[in-house]
Amino acid sequence: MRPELSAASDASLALAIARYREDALAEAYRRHAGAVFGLARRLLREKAAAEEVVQEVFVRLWNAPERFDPERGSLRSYLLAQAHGRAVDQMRAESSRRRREEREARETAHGGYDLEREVGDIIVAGQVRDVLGALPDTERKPIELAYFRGHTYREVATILGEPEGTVKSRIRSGLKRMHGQLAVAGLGAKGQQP
Amino acid sequence: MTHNEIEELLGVYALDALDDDERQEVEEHLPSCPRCRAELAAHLEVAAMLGNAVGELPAAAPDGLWDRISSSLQDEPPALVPFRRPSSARRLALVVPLGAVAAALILVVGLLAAKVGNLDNKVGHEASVSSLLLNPKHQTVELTSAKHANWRATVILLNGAGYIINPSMPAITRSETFQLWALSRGKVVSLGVLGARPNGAPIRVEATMTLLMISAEPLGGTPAPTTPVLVQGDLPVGL
Repeated sequence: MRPELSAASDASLALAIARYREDALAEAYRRHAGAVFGLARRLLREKAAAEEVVQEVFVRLWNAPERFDPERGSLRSYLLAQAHGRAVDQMRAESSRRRREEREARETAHGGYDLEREVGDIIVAGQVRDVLGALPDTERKPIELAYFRGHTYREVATILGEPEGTVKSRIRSGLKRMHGQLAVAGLGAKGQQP
Repeated sequence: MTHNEIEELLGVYALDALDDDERQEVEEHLPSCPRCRAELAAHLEVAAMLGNAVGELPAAAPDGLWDRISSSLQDEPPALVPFRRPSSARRLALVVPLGAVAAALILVVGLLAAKVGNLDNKVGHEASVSSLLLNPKHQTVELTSAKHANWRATVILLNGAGYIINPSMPAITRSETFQLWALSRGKVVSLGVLGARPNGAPIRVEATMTLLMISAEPLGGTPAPTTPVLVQGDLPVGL
């Protein structure tokens, strides 16, 4: 790898990737693949499926680097958003949905369905965790079920036994509240570098 | 769906928690609504932090995964080089006129193509684009499409030299390349092939040129356009 890449900004890396420099993609992978894999693994639980998401995300960055806009956030945020979308798509694909439902049915049979336990094992780091944890339950639970479990808001409404309209409003107000709190804590869009 | 209804969906949209039909409605609304875009940007920031804060991060992705990714990448496209002059006249016979603009023109093998330099394959290139943009004397040419509002590219120029930036053009196949053309003294000349991703490609124009055009051509380029022009734009007078 040429020495300048390890110090290159996200924007420079994306530009180098757009110029078909594979070492630039390798550098982006070195910086962010762990986080991307971590999120995909968290969502999909299966290593092979998570690896597939990582592969898709980086191949897409190679093929369409212009979709990443440095003005709108960090490269890591972009890659994580891509990974989330892809992982959720996989979770909703018919066959894996069936597997997931069977697994959840088994878990329910063994331990009883316990939302607190279901989402409680989601370990969220530092301040983000605090801010999420400080939300009223009515906002926190739908956000966790949607983001970390990949449920649509309609599914979330069914799980929580709430009207769909209520769920979408609470997700929206919860995100707004988190945004305010994270800004207060000094975490903004640019605060996500490793 | 009304603006207010869309607005209610922005949070769940940011969390990928919408069904396809509603997601599509949100995506159709966004381009025309700065207010929704701003709200969504804030939601996406929070979503990214949630994703970033997932615990038990492995230090790195599994071994061997990079090798799989690396081997699945498409081959590099041709760098920006002059097209090869065809060996037989038969190829010229395949040429299809451009469209109204160029139909009556005599198509000329691009004598100017040799003037186009090779794509500078360095990150430092970004500096060239930005320093050009920072120069108050630079000129901007917008290449657009009459049929597709979202097809476009921008050319920035200073003293006849510059770059293509922010292209948004239809996908092309692996056997195609974008190629840049100019209208010069009533003739269409090639300014070189651009590969699959024209962003940042350097270009040079002559004072005699009045129109820039980009088309998708067979890999390697052609002496004259064989497909309709995708985007085009007038060059300023007196470059």
